[in-house]
Amino acid sequence: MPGRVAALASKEVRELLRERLVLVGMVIMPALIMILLGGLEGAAIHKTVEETGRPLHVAIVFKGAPTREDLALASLIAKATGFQLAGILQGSPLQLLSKGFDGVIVLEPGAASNISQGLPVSASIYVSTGSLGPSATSLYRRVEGALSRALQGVVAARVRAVLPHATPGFLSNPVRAEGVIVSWGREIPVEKYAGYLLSLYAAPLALLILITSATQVGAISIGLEREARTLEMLLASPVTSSEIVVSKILGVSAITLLGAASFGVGLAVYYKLAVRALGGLGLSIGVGLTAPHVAVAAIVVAASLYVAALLGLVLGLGAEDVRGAQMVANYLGFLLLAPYILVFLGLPLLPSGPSTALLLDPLYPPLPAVVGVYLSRPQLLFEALAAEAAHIVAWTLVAVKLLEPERLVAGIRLGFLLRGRRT
Amino acid sequence: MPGEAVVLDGVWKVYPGGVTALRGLSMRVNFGEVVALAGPNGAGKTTAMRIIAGLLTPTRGVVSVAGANPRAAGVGLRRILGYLPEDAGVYRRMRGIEYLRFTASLYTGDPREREEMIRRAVEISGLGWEDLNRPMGEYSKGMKRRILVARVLMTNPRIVLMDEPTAGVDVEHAVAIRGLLRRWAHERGAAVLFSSHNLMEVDVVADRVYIVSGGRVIAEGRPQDLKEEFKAETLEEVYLKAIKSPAPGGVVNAG
Repeated sequence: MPGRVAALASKEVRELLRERLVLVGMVIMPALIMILLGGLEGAAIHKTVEETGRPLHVAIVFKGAPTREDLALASLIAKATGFQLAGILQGSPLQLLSKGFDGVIVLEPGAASNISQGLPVSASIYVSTGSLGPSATSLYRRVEGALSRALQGVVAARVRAVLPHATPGFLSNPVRAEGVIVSWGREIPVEKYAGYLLSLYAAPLALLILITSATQVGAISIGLEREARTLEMLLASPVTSSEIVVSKILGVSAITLLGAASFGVGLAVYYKLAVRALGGLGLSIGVGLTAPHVAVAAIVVAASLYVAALLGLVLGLGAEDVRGAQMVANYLGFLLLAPYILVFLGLPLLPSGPSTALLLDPLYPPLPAVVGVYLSRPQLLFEALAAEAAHIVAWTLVAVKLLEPERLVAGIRLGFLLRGRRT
Repeated sequence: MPGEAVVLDGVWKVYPGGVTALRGLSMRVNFGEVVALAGPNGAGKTTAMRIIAGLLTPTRGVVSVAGANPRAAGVGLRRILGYLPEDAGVYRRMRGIEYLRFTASLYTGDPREREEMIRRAVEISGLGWEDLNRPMGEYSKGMKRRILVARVLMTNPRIVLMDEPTAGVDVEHAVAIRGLLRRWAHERGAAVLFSSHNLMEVDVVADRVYIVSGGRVIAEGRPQDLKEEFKAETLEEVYLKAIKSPAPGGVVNAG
């Protein structure tokens, strides 16, 4: 039996790799997409204030009652930056952001006294972005840079008042800022933004690509057999339906692993272009990764690729040829991947009821697994693992049942028999 | 009974959609003989072949292949059975030689046996090495059929089922395939059952013929005996007479 499965699986890999669609979609595209994404985002991070034309709408507020000197300092900053002096902070900075400000600078009372003593000014900088990806850091840098330059100007003016020919170099950065990026309603400390980007943006995006592709390849795998009319002879050979299912899944899994490797290469470039650019800003990954958590997440992701391929195989059994199989995989695949949109909408953690219900979606579990790693929540990881194990058993049984010779040969369809249009 | 490779007794097949393909079909194929199934389109020939190959379950009746129920026997029976469906295709991007290697690896793990199977298949197919190293999608219909026939016979099956084995094959190679079917039965002692619309081919190749219509056998016997029974010059005449005016009670058994 292992020999037959190996022969079938190796045939599967060879045939799939010979399909241009599979080669491009699974092996080339994942790397290409991540490299392009990294390039674009890296460029966004490196944007300078001058390059982004639009003036920023930023509020300067004090956390508590300011002194007269503090107010004078804030007026100078507002004049130098073009920001708006808005008095004492009432409520949360998020409320100001919701009023249309791009950012809020919260100054600690006593800032003017700090400047007088040659100490940095403490400030919290909140920026809001509706966009996905690292362009938010560019906004943060602009606000922080403007504040820093304004304060340097103030210091320089003071020094020049005493020593007209001196160059004030004793405060390279007169701001000690704590940054918060507000993205889709979530407050992310700026030093954790790189981790956020990697775990809740790049990884789900990559999963989306990989899982969609695995479903497609699974569907194509059975579609090729149906289109070529090779299945009947295969079923009459000394192989069982289970062997055919297992070998097809092994073949498809090998292809998806190639896809994962391609994605890995792309991710490395992405990291270099985008995330490391954030590192250059003093931002760390900020994720408390532990080896067991990462291992469990990797198992869930691998299992999900298996389930996605299996689901594609099941869907492909309802089609008559490769394009029909792809159409079916597209329709249902995208429907089942809809929860991934939740991440991009800023809702990675639903209440437990809907979150558990979503685990019934065979393509959903890797998402809470990745989020579980980022947020160090083992429960999410193990729930995802249990759900994925249940999906593997259930969908393998369905596939073996559907691959019964009687059903295939007698032409008992799944009710959505599709024939792709040849172009 | 020793010597009986295939036995169908009162076999009915009703498909889930309600179409009745077989209505009490009974037939026998012995080891060492070539038997042909002839009949109009929709007579039930392909359904009968698929039931014998273990791909379909009869709704009613008894089926025995090498003394076993083909649906229950599983992999062991399929190892000694070679089946060529009427509309079988090939993997279009796979090279011919790769296909033969792949097939051999499904039947045996012994490299020497595999090599022997491949050598036999190359000889049977009559395809040159240049053709065998091309993707099968580039083959003509006849070449595809030849490699499929080779794929079936390469495993040296004891029971051979071929649905329209020479469809689309040129005269020279059709003659070769007919010769192979006879050799397989008469020299190797295999049981060969084939279907064909070409009744001249049936006359030349088959030791016995079953003429099937409406899912049951309407005439059965040696080609010569059938011709005498129906007072016909050719099997085509026999066929037309049998189809147009079937025996009132059932089967014309010639000889």
